[in-house]
Amino acid sequence: MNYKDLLVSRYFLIFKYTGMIIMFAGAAILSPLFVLFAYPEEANYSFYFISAGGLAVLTGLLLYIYGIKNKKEDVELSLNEGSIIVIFSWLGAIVFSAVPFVSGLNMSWSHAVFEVVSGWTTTGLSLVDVTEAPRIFLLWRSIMQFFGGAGLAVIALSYLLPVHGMGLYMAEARSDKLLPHVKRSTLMIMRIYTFYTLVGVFLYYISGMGLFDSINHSMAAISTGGFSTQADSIGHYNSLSIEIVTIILMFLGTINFATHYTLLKGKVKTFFKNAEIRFMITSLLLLTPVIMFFSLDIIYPYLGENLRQSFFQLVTALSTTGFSTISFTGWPAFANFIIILLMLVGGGTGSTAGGIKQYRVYLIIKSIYWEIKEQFLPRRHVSSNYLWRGESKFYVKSEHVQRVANYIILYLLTFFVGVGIFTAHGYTLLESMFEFGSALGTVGLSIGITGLDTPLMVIWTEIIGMFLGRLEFLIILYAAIKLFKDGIYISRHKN
Amino acid sequence: MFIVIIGSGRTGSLLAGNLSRSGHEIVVVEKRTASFTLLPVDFSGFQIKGDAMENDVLKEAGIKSADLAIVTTGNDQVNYLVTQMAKENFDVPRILVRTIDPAVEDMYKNEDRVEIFSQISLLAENIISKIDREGMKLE
Repeated sequence: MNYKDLLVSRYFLIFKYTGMIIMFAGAAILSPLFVLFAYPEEANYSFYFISAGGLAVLTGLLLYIYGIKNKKEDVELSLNEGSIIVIFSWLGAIVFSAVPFVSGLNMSWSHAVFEVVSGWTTTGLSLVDVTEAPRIFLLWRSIMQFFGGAGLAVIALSYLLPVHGMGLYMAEARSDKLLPHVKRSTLMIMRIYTFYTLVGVFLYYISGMGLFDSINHSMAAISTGGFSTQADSIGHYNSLSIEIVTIILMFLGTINFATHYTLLKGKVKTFFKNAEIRFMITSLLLLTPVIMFFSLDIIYPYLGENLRQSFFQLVTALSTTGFSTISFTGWPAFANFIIILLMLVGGGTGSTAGGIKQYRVYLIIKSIYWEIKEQFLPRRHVSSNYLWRGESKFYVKSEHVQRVANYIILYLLTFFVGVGIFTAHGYTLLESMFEFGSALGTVGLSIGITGLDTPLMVIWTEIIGMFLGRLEFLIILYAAIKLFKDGIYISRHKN
Repeated sequence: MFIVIIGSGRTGSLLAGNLSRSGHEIVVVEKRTASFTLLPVDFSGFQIKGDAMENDVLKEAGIKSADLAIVTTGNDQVNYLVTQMAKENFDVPRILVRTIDPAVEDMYKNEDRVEIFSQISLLAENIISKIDREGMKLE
């Protein structure tokens, strides 16, 4: 078999797997129909979901059938091939998910795509008027965040595809292994994730939220999504117990699944040694008093109220969830600046959160410390720098630091380009940084820019920002370059 | 099944890849980082870098809860020591060992829970059975 045949057979496999994932997305589009059992009066909307879901299943099936025409033995996927599957599955899921919004709610395609990208990437910026939208659409928004938080590749690996390699897993910005097999790892992730969501529904319900809202908010909180069924988000309830439940769920969502697994196994000590946990606790302990006493004491004169509002907004920004209890428009610039910083940092690696990721920021801060320390050590000293990751020490090599630093630079460059596009449309620097940082970090907090009358250019900048932020840039490049190179190779060797 | 493989040379990595592909949970322990590159792309288990003759390394590999240990380093002495450690210190229920020199086979004679695979004996047996099957006669 020559190289061209090998390539072609691999693309058949890619078609097959992508088809299977898109069929799953189609099934997901049909899932909001369960709401009809509770609210049968919304049956007239079911057609939009059945047609969109059916279309997705049909497309997936066609791809699948085309893919299995190639009878060759299944080969394992590399990271680049995994990237192609992930990108096309996500694009497919996004396009078909947008169909009900276009046909059922009369939204334009740009606005509908914005809404579903915000859903699948667990951002939570929204253009849907939640006070008027039917419940079936609200549930669909939450379900998108639920599946998007887990990630299509993780779901596919755990239940759908006969793949044992790491390529597809790593293509969706995950690298941690919970168990010594990728299938068991993804199954464990799905179990932990579903378990927490059910716990969340229960906790919300006993805190006095209605069942429908509990289900939606729990899915949106664990996935660090942040779509709410209320116009004022969590602030609507003005209830301390609901806010505490939300904070707990946001923490759970933003912690790496491998770290969760350590905790669930009862290794509390190892859990608190973890680099990300330490970073998160330190930064929250440090920044809460800072914004309380240097900025927000003018708005909230009472200490209890001040603590409650400050801590909630900091957690929602750091965990990249995007629920809010107040409006950021009236906040002083300094407090908003701290929120922007936390949105850029984001949540834990291998969690449902977005942003640069706490691990990367922690590593870079540590490596600056190491560099300074080494300057004052004897000339012939030998040192090995490590930090705690998962359950074991991780010895940091300089190539690893380099990769992380490159990623952070790339992230910040994209951030500046996006902010540039925003300011060119006449928004202030603070507004632009806040809103684009929120989109790129898949947070979903808004300072009031995103709305139905926002220029389309800005909407699309946010869409691209959310997509890049969720899939972590590089795999999109890998997939594009691989497709381009293979396309040239195959077309040059026609026979 | 949870399997710990000691030694990720040509034998160990081939085993690790095939067993991982058929759905087993695999942990590989290997001293040299370069040898990990022999593992195929679809291996998705853990890689532990360290000397398997150290108790802590075996502990880190989670050998305590292993259903099976496969000892396949290229050194008979190391294999024997690691087998003893896995058996006595960590109580592994079943151990498969690769032996190189046929002379060391006797060392494992009275060990329960341990089974040996001697590559040279296997090779010799295969060749002899081939001769027998094809009925080659001595002139």
